[in-house]
Amino acid sequence: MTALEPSSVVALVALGTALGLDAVTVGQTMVSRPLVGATLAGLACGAVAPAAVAGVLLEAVALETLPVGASRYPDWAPAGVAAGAIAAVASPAMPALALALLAGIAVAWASGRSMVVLRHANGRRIAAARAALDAGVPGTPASLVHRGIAGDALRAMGMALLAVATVPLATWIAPRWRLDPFSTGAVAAVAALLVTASSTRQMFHGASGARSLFAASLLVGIVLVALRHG
Amino acid sequence: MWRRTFVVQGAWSYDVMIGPGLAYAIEPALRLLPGGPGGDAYRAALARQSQYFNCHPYFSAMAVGALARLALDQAPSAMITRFRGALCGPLGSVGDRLVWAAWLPACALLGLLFWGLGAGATGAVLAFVLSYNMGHVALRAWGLSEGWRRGQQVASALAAPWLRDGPAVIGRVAAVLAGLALPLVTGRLLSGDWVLAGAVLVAAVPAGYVISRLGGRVPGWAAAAGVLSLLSLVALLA
Repeated sequence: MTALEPSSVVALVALGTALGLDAVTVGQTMVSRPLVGATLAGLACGAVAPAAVAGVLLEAVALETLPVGASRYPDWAPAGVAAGAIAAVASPAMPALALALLAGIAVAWASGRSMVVLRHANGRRIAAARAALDAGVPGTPASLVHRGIAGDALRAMGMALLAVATVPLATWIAPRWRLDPFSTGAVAAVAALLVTASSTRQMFHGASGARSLFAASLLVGIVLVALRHG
Repeated sequence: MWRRTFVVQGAWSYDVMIGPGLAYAIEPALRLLPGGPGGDAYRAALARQSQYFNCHPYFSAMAVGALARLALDQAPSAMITRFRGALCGPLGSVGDRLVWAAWLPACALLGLLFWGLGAGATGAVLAFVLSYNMGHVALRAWGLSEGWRRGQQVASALAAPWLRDGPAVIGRVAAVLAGLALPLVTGRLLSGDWVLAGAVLVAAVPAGYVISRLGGRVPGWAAAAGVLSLLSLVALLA
């Protein structure tokens, strides 16, 4: 079991805060996606490669999430931080990967709920400023946007702390894992990829021929794997 | 205005959605109205733009451009209000179909495929981030420019063939990427044990199909969390 260095904790919280802002409020450049977040978290913990594996699988899970306006969805920004940090720090590798995915999904769910709370808080601020908005008082929309961003930064920091808090728990559980690494890796892969497979339905919606292309590509992919490793 | 479109969701709420963010993005243009910042025209325009508005965040740039143009052309306020309301639906549905349902998953799958083919973490991340943001930034820039250029006629820009057919074309590309990425990611994850990789696919693809048929009653992430929780229990209690 390896503990997180204090410098890594600071870097992870800063990273989680920045990525949390990107998810909705500032930019939406999608650096908040788990593929990126987990890899950067691995960088912060000094082990990029295992963190990237967790990022790949968590991205496979996140594929189904459409961040559409008023819908309520998991927030994958702190999830990537949690998964990347766990995969980088905990050992053995395969139990760490499975725990990274589980912790990532749990943190994504919690963070999604925190977004709902933030949006209600924004609504209360806007209601309080309604008279000024209706009168066109200069600076009112700017003030609301700035305060909304500050509120989201606080929310994101809280979720980043939650993400970091999952790391000691996972590093404690991983050495007590009694299943063999191949079974563990296989089941973790099934858990992640079944979500990708399920999300193809919405991806292919309205795209004629997509299902046939998917099936043909799947066969080509299987042949490629067999040729490379068989 | 361009930079401000990147924080248009800064004050997102369930009541007025991105209304205040839209007003914040348009505000620099409103300073050019007769009377300047704080004048009657400025205040009336700022109040109008602070009301409810909702659309895809990237396509909000198009709304910003078009509404700024109408404001500076001093179009009648009732007409601006009607036009503003009419923009919400099309700019939301086109953006959701093109970006969230097609472009984002396609670029993410490209990143996964890169990793499955043996690229390092940096290669996979760059493949995703660069491809995605080429489309993202180009879309915002195009939207702001078209909105400003066309003003009230901006709806004609939304009839562009690439916007109409784009989601289906990207959906087909995503199908190919998904088909290739699933086995290659599995193969690399399981260190080339292609028999085990095959078993993973045989389990994951039909399970995913079943979940997709449940119509959202069981989200995929919840199913994944269930499988992983069960795995953890078995691994710790075995």
